[in-house]
Amino acid sequence: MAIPLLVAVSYGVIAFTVVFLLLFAIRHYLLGYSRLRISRPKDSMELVGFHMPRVTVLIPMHNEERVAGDILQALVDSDYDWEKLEVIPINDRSDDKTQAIIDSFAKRYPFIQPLHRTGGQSGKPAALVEACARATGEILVLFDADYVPGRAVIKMLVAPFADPEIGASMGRVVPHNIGDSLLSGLLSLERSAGYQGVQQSRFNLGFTAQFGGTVGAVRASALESVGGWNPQSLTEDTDLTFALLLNGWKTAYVNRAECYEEVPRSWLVRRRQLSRWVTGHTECLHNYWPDLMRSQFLTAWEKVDALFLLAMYWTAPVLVLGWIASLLLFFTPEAHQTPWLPVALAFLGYQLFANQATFLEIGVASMLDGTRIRSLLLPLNLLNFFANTGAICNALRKFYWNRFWGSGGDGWYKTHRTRGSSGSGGFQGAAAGSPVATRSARGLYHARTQGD
Amino acid sequence: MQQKASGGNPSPSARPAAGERTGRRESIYPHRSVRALPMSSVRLTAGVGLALLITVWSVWNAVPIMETHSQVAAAIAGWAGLPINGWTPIGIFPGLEPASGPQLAIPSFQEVSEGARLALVFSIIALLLLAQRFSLFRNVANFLIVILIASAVANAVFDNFRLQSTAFGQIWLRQEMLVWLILPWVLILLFVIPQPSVWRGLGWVVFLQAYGFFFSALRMVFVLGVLHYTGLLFMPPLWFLLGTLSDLLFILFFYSLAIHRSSGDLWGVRETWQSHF
Amino acid sequence: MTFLLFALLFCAIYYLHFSLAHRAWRQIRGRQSAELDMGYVRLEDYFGQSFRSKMANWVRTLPRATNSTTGLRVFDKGGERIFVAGAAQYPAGRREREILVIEGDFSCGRDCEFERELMVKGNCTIGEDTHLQALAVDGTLHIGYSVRVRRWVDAVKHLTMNEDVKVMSRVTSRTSIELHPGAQAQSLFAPEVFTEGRHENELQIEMAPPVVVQLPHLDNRTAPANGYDPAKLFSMGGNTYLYNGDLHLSAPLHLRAAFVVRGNFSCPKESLLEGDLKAHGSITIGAASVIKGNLVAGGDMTLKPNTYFQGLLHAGGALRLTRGVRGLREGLPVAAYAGGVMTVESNVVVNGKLASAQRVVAVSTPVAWLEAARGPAAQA
Repeated sequence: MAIPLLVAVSYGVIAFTVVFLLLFAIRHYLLGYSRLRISRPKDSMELVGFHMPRVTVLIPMHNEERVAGDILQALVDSDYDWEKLEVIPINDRSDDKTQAIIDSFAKRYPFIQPLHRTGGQSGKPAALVEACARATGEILVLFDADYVPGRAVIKMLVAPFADPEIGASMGRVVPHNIGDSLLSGLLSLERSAGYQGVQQSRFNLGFTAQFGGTVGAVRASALESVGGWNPQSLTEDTDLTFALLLNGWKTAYVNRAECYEEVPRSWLVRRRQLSRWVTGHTECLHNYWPDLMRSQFLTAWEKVDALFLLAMYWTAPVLVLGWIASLLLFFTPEAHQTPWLPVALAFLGYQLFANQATFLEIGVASMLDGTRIRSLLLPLNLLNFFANTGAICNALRKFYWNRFWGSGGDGWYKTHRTRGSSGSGGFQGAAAGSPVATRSARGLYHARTQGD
Repeated sequence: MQQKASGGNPSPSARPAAGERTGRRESIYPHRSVRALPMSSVRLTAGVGLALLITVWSVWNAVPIMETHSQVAAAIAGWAGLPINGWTPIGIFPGLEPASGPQLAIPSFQEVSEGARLALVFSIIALLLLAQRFSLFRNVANFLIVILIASAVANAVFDNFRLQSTAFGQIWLRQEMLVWLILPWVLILLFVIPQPSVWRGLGWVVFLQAYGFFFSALRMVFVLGVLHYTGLLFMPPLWFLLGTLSDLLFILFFYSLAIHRSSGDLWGVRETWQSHF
Repeated sequence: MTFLLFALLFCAIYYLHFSLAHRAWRQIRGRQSAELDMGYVRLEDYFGQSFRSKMANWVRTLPRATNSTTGLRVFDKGGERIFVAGAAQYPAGRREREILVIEGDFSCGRDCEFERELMVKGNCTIGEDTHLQALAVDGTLHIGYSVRVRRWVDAVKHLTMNEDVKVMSRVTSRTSIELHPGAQAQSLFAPEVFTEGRHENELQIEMAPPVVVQLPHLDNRTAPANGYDPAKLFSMGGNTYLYNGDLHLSAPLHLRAAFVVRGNFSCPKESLLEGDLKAHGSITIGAASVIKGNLVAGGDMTLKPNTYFQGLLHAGGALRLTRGVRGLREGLPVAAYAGGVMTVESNVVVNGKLASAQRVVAVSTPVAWLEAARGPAAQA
């Protein structure tokens, strides 16, 4: 009795897995194809430079001596009108040279108004809450400390705000340290698919883009209307995306507003980053899905898209559940008598395990970006796929365990920077001869501050 | 100050009418943020047509296909020195003529040599070392270790955990036959519809369908060989690695090649990226 | 033993599936991405500026060809040549295959063809039906009837585009651009872009409407009036309001906040829009209105006669600027963009940019339009 029940349950699990992941696979295919065929992307590039409200740039920093100089110099080089620009580097209790670097810039450039935090809740969301109270800009632009924005990025991020419905805008992040490790090379493919493929596609289809919290901008009044940043959230950006959406605001995606970032080079760092994303994202799912379903501002398709977005990390445990069911069937000789076993395995293999649709997105983005050499790394992305699956399952297990027992979850974890450390070679991402490359490459920057 | 063409604004690329005078350049290569490859009904129709043709042909010729697969596997097994005692008819799907399954001795756990058991231990150690050395490989390695241990336990505890080579051939052929039926549809989604060249895309589909067939025979012989020498100890991880995962692997490998080629082609062709006005 | 060899061969074949990935990884290991141009800034007259700077560099550095004479300097530039001459006049029907730099004034007769770029340091007149590749002029530029330019045009002084001139890309001037009916381009940018007839008297519109709809009007207990239903209004916060449905006002509007209409929007003449307005569908602004904020429409947008805008216009579909529309503000140029065709009638003046994903085309104001605008029943 037990064995037939086990076999039946296993088949049921596989059937559920197939259906669940097939829906996600279809979504991936639709988004991939949709991006490929967009001949006229929704973009506000023609308005760039014609909409110039007062802007405050916020840069949360905690022990960022390796990268602080690069981003501050890049902002000084920006082509945004200094009269309308305010930069607030938020030094959140750094115990390295971050404060000295920020102060040296603030001395030279009056639009740089540092905020040195010495108390209060730690972490990026709390730092942002404090900085926002001091910001004078109509639009708040956010960069992570390891990002290096190009000269025109602020203008590009701000242009969509000519539309009063836009509450936030999001640019594209491009990893510069693609050769630091195999992981960073593979992550660059993933980022490409995520921004060039999925974000642009979703925005063009009329769905709200996902605000990423970096290389993004938010309308100060919209932020205020949703109660500001959620300092309890591990992913304050995703939280804000959905808080804005529920109030009728949209997030715009600006594919041309490209900005270099540093992706994790070691799996340990990546796993922690992923764990934070999974926890914060799933928290948002639980917090927002009932309101999303009831929202009168959203169409049915927007609701479906929002649900898919919020539930995307669930695919990993469902996939693992399918594998476990197929293993149980494999170790149960009784199951071998039925022709459904290979049917189940084949479908599981193709629709779930394979999940080739995500690889299609990478392929589409690689074609559009023209990244020829990196596209050949695709078979190795299988390793990344397995690694992500494990890390996501683990993070979800912790999240639900904590939620069930009411214990505290993970704290905010700062992604480790490697730029400027031995072996990573510093930031050389800008094209040769570019003023930013010349002025803000780490070595030159340090030479200058030493001179100071 | 370095300046670049305004990326968001691909210049027009209207084709001149016959006899109309032309300048040397028709357009500016657009920035990647606004590139696109418009869908073509030709690619869609050709792709779906070919996939349908292959599927119908495969269903119609299921028995000969499986027979040929067995013959190819037999030839490879011969080169690999496997002592196959012959091929016996096995039913693959109800209502279909039986195909041939290999007859090869697969020892039980009690019959396998000490060498095989040592190999199991060494495999686990090797996987542990790999997991330590390559963090990206850790999850796969851990999963393989778990199923290796589970396999050893199942072999040791359950006497009825036996599998005949013909039954293995049956499971393998059933699965691969299903794969071959799904394969053309997966292939057109990756190689035909979203690629610039329809003919090359169709070529990829035909080639990969054939490649999948031969790669399957090769993998099956390898697994049979391992089963012959080590019993069922390694069967679960081999099934995991060399089953549908390998089908995915070869698709990904050739897909990366196709993308590499298409990216190169599109780089020089401004017109392909742009819509006309 | 044989099987062992086979197993090794099998592993090698299996590895082949990773071999290219492995090779690619070895190629990029230790490298950094250089795919972004960090120094990129957006310049409306980039093409003209870039060409002038490249040309100055070529003339300075390229070797001079042996057939150079006193009046004509020739430079070899790879597979093409650059001709540098003083002032010149080309007769009708002349065909020029080389890059041409004229250091004085230049004019050409009708039906000429310039297969490569033309740069003129003085004033320039292009004869009708001429075909050009691209054109940079340091003085004034007069482009004759039915001229075709495959790429861009840039002038330092006043630029005139005569009837039926087609420029397939951008047109820029540092002074002004004058468009005659039928002239079209993908985008036009100048301190002043205007269509013919700008000096004519403005149309007379009746003034002083009896009722004004004040938005936001937050009392949702009020009964619907003048096409406005207070029950459909929601606050998004931040002095921004959302109206769920079409909004067609029958009395002039005074908009005092940012406003999003999930549908089509229209307001009658002499409305005052102080906040930004977005409609998911179309937007029609009545005659003689004043728009101080930005207008964004998911669909088509029409600004009726004598409307004055001070911000940005962005239409997902077609955009029509009718007779007498003015676009200007202090400190920053204005811009109007259409995803579809932008039609610009007579006597329109915009200090800034007109751009379209398809084309901006100047048209004569239809007679029917003029009559309707003058009539008492056509005030909305």
